[in-house]
Amino acid sequence: MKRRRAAAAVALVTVAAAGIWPAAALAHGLVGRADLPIPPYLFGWAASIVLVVSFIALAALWKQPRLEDARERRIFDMPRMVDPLCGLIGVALFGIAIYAGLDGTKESNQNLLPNLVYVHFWVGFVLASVILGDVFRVFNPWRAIARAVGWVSGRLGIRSPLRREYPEKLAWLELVYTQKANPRILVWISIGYAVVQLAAMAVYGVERWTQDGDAFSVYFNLFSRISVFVKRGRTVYLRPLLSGVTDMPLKPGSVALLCAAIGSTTFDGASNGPLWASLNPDLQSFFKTLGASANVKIELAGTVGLAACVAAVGLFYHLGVRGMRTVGRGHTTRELARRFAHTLVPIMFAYALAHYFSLLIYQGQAAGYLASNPLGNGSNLFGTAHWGINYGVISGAGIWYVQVGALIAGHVSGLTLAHDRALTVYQRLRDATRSQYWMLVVMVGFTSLGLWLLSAVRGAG
Amino acid sequence: MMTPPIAHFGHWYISLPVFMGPVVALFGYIYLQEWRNKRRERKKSKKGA
Repeated sequence: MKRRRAAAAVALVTVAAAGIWPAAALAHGLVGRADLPIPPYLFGWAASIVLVVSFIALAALWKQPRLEDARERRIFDMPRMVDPLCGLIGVALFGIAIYAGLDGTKESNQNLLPNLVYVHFWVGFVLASVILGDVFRVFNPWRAIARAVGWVSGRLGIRSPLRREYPEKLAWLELVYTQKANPRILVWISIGYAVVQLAAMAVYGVERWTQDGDAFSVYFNLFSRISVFVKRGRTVYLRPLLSGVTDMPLKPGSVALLCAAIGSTTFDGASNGPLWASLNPDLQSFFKTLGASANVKIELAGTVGLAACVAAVGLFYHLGVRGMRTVGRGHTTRELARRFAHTLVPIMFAYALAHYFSLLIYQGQAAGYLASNPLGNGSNLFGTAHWGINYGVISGAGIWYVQVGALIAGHVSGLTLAHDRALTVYQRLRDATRSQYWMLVVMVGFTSLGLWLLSAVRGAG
Repeated sequence: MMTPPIAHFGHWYISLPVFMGPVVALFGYIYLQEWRNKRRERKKSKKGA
């Protein structure tokens, strides 16, 4: 017992030291992209040590499940007007973006639509969901429209056609499709998506479709489960960090969805690095020999790369679960894969934050001038059209530290969730700990892979 | 002109194993521990019989 406590103490001190270390490195005034004090691979090794030490600390100090069925504390009631007001803002932004796509310039960096969709919506809502809870639900424009139709038809005494009651293709759009930033094409994709959502809400019910069918609602809801805030009805509750992830609804395809989300971010990172740079031309040549045109061969090569990354992530997770199955009896691989699927949620966030942080920080600033000039036609509605992007807001080294920190925090969170769940799945603490050896390998693997991809992009840039 | 794949191959071929070193080390360590545990249990059960 004494040995275990000593090991835990050493573990905590090491984790604390590792947490302080990047700050100490920053104090040296590092500003350049290549001005890291040590080679990037040593960050990977340090991250692996932090994970192993966290694992030991969890085994020694975390002996009861604490996140499953955690208690929530009521904080306050939202005013009745907040939901409709946020919905109205969502609809207004959607309308402006569509108008910019239809009537604005075809230059993607001068048009509000691509920036709003790929930066503020796709990445911004991920961060907002983790910090504030499921904010997309209240700003969701198609849900707001459907609810408004329901409310008006209720007042008029007629039966609403919109009763109250997956994102792999979308990742393909963002990562592979060559015309993804063309405002004229993106606007019709956005309109088409909205029409499909409204039609589906009419068939399945607004709340039911929002909860289970709308890919973005499902996607952002997963991130919001990490948050300490949750809104039920009009009441906002406070809950322990990560506890919301433990009651993630498990439906057919949940594991595949999470692997696809991590795999698509992996491909996004890999596609900017040397590995893809060496494989991509060969793949494109192959598809060219099959008769594919210039754009099609790029998209087909990208599709193969995306599918390979998703498959690699799925295989890696599956191997971890297979290892877990060797401990205890009566658990099938399929059952364990589903019961531990929620541990991938913080990893999904870590990958998203690490890969898109610089995009959000730099390209997010474009909202300043695009708000004044959404169509790119020279207007200056708010007097901010002359604003630019300040690339000095954070240094290259600063971004790297945020990326490393995000990956470590995400994977330690994944380990914590896995340990907590193992304590309920296995009867004995020893079995619970032993079962997680392989999950530790998976977490260290995901961390190393993430850092390798990021360092490859740094090297390429 | 198409970039020859071999021109980039060296970069990731060298850097990937360096990054993945801890994974391989951890995998080897855990595999060895599990193998030793199983062998010990097998010996115990043989002695018991």
